[in-house]
Amino acid sequence: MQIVIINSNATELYVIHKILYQIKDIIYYYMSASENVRYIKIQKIGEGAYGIIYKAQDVQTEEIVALKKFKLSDNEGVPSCALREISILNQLNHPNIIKLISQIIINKKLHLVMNYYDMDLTEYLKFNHEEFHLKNIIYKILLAVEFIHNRKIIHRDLQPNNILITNNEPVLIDFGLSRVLSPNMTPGVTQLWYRAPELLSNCNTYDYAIDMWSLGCIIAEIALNKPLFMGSSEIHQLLLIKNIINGNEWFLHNSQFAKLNNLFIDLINVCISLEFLEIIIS
Amino acid sequence: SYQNDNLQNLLDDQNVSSQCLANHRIREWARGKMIDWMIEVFASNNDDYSNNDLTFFRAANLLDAYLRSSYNLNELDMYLIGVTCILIASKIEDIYQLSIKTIIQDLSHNNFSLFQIKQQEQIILETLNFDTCFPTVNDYLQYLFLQLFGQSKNQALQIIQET
Repeated sequence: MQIVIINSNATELYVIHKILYQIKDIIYYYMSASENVRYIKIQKIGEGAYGIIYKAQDVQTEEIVALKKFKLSDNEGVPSCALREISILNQLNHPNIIKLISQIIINKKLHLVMNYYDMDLTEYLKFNHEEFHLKNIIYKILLAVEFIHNRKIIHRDLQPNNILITNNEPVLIDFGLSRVLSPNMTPGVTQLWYRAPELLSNCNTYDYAIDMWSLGCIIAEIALNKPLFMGSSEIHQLLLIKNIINGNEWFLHNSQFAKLNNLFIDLINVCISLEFLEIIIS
Repeated sequence: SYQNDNLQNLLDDQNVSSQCLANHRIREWARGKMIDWMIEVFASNNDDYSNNDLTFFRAANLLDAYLRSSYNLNELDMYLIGVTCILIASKIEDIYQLSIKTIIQDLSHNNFSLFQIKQQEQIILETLNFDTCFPTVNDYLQYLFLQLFGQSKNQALQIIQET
């Protein structure tokens, strides 16, 4: 009996020993893994067709960053929107355009590491602000857009959600849809409310003017505190544009704009002019 | 002023790709042959939505840029690098990119596997540090044409400029 008990003890000990070794292996595995993982995800911020955005913390510098994770398809290698976004952001160096800190591959998935800001223009406009802050924001946005247009890049997705605010300074983000100007481009870009008429009518030869249209809508939104055209479909959007704009001096007859400065109205008017040639190009 | 800014940016962002064969055992003839083959590919690939010219120039300049910043490559490696450059250029310039399947079957006649091309793509992108949007020869030519013929009212010159 005793021998049997000792035997069983021995086997138990042996089993425990083996388990301990396995646990040790697992702990070592995770420790080595955590050395590679420099960023710890805190929460999910947003999600789109391209992938998911996380708020994350840098382990080394304890800085809060935004991680943009791309869905890698198995058959096509690096996705084209990721490729365009990285190469364009690498090229741009401007205080009002987001900086790409680095691009890393975690678990065979491509992640972009960018600065984190917690407020976008839509949220910013929910509070009351001084007029010169708003003017400054508009001016800085215009500067940033001029900067990218000078490099032959069209943003193609300008909307208040893609403009972040930090210390009353705007930062342009999300270059996932932007590209270098070319003769043929796809018309299905920009969020519907900020989409230019040439895109709504499915034209595939367009240029920087579509960004200026979106800018005009954004500036009007900053002034009025609500979006200018809120269409529910492409046709509805076109109808809204047609109804509001009758002739050249439509702003003067519109009660919404009565309280605004004349120069301000001119700026919006020039940005969203229906005459194709009159829309200013940067 | 807009034109001046444009020129300044073109010069600032320019990617020097001369002397690209200095670090390799590749003859100039082999690189020339590769470029000829690229022209052939883009001339035959008549898709409505493919910006053939832009994609070709992008591919050729990517090839040069990669050769310039890498070392000790063989003439035998050229084929895989060229095919992969076409893939990357198509991803940047085209509305509908060439799929890897087309590239394997039609362009490389099943000489390379999916894994090989994906691996080479990653190597090229990491070597160039994802810096693939630099202005190509095409952009400089366009600027030159605009300066030379832009203000002219001569019809023949305007036709040249439009093409």
